[in-house]
Amino acid sequence: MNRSPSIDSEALVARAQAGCRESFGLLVERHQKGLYNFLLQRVRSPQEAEDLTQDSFVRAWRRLATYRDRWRFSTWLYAVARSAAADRARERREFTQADPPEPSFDPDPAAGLCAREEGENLWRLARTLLNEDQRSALWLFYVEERSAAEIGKVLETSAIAVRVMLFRARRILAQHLEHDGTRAGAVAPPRSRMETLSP
Amino acid sequence: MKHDFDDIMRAQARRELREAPAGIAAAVRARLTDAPLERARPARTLPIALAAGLAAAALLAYAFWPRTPAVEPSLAGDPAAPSAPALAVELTHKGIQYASRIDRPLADEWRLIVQDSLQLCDALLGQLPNLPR
Repeated sequence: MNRSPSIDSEALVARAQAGCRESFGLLVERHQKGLYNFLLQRVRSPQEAEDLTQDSFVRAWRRLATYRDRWRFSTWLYAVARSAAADRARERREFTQADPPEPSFDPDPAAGLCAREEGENLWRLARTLLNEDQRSALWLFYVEERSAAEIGKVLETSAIAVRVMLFRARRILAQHLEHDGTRAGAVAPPRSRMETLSP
Repeated sequence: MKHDFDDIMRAQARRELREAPAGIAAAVRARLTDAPLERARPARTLPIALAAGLAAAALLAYAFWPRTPAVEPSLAGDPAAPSAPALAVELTHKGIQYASRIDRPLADEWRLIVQDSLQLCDALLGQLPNLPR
């Protein structure tokens, strides 16, 4: 999938900052899957996630001059995407306040059926129980394996706030599982994991 | 067997991962042609320049502001001011007047001071006939 794996993202960013669209195109190919999946956790439909992925890349291109290599490019990109998603959600709230809430997002009905057969899927559960930032924090932590500081950069909050957010999100999920008894006694309490969070 | 919450989260996340739709990269490339690359915003130098300008203006004002010359005490220059001997006489006169108002008998030291003052006045200005002795 990556056409230029030997060139690291920072070098491509430097070229793109000089105006090279081809380098930015390579960055798009390199990061589109991660960004699309990150946005899938925030929005309500795959179509919206796809639109937002495109918008986020275009917005990132426009603002590329503001990127500094203090953070990884992907971290900055996720922050741009989160901002774009928040803007769209705000616009939707402003213009469709009277609309009834849409049904919860189920990207793949077949996968959902498998998940129900295997037991409760925590990520689907997260969509119904957690807010957008909590879901993003969980995704960045478990899937992208980002530190609390990097997640804080994306969510525009402190590392400590991220730790609290992760702790609460995991506790909500664990409590729900215990309450339903679907995995009673089968899921370890998440408290121990919080102690291993790197800042 | 107890499963770890984190292992479940990671394992289930792998099932949640999707491939990005095929058209994203091409669509973004097409939109980049219409999207100009914005230049970096200039650093916010205005507040710093303003503060530096104010400081420089204050320094210049302090250096070049016209000052009123300080009034120096001049005994000889001011014609209205009493001369040193006249002042000595006046003060001696007042001292003797204050001393004469004390009811109790004056102490010997006080008498000596008054006498010395009177002698000083005599030496400076001659006899002062109206002063109490």
